[in-house]
Amino acid sequence: MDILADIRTLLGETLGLEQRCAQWQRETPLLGSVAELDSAAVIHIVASLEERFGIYLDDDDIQATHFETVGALTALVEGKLAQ
Amino acid sequence: MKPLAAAPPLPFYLSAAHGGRLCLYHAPTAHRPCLGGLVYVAPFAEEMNRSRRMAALQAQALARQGVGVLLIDLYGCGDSAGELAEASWAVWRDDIGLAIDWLQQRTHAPVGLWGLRLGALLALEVARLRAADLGLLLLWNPLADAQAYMTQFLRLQLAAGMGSASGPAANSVAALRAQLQQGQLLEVGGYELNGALVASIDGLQATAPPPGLPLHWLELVRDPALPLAPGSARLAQAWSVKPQTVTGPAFWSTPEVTTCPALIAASCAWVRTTLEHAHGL
Repeated sequence: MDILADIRTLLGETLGLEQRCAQWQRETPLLGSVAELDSAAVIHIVASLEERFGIYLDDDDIQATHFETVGALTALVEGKLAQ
Repeated sequence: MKPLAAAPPLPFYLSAAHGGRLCLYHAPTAHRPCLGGLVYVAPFAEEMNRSRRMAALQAQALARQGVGVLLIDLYGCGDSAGELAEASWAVWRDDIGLAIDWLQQRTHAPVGLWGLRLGALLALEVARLRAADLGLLLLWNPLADAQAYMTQFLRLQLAAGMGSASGPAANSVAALRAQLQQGQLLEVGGYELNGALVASIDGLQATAPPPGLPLHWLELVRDPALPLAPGSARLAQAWSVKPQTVTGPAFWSTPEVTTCPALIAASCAWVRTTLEHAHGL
């Protein structure tokens, strides 16, 4: 499973970005750079990640640091999958 | 030949406890024999609003095939009597029961339920109670874990403080649930919730559908190459049901109104085949 690609697709759909996210890499900034990523969108992404990957994110995981870049979010999911 | 314009649905208030429920009835197109009926069971809160377009398109498509479709706005869900703060799972269950009764009297044909997300779990529960009265059950992306879903919903409250140095405005979902248990109402994303309703949803078990009732599970997925989401895979195994996957956007949650014609086509095909079989055709 290519987690980065899957997360990119999930972000694109959740935020309604269409092709804008096709070239996103791990270092691509999210929070503060992607206008669509407001607080409600963050929660929506968390819900989508939980359903898509069958993981459970704690309330403590819902922190800005995990949403700073595509890579930070991917690392969060990878960490949960490894537990 | 140009496709026929869809006839407008018939709006009416269904008489029920504590006031009327707004219903839209999509009658079977006149030149078709009535094959049967379906009651739509909508998902929860914002998902319900975002699904309106798909529900209407699906209802129109079924009506053109000779299936009468009843869209009902449940108690406290905006267009019907009551406020969400007063709503309960039991009242919603009764509302669906009344909708079944109405549609049976109207169509004199087999009637089924069609539910989306949380609505699929409500449809399942009603189907277990009224299996003998029903002819089919169509599920779209049933929730695999209602409690996890409710947690996701309550988290909208935590999001307010994202990015600020002081952290989230509310401290945890557990604290929110505790407030609800103490009898306080909680407003989340513009929806006022009561503790009993949240507890009912938290306690929902997606137990197996009643045996013998024709069931079809359509699962909308973003990418057909990916395996089924783990929760859905667990559900499929527990139910011994294989979902049919259809590719398209999760229209109940996308920021813009999106639709999925393939899901409508797949639903029509199964409903029609099942009802024709019931009629011995």
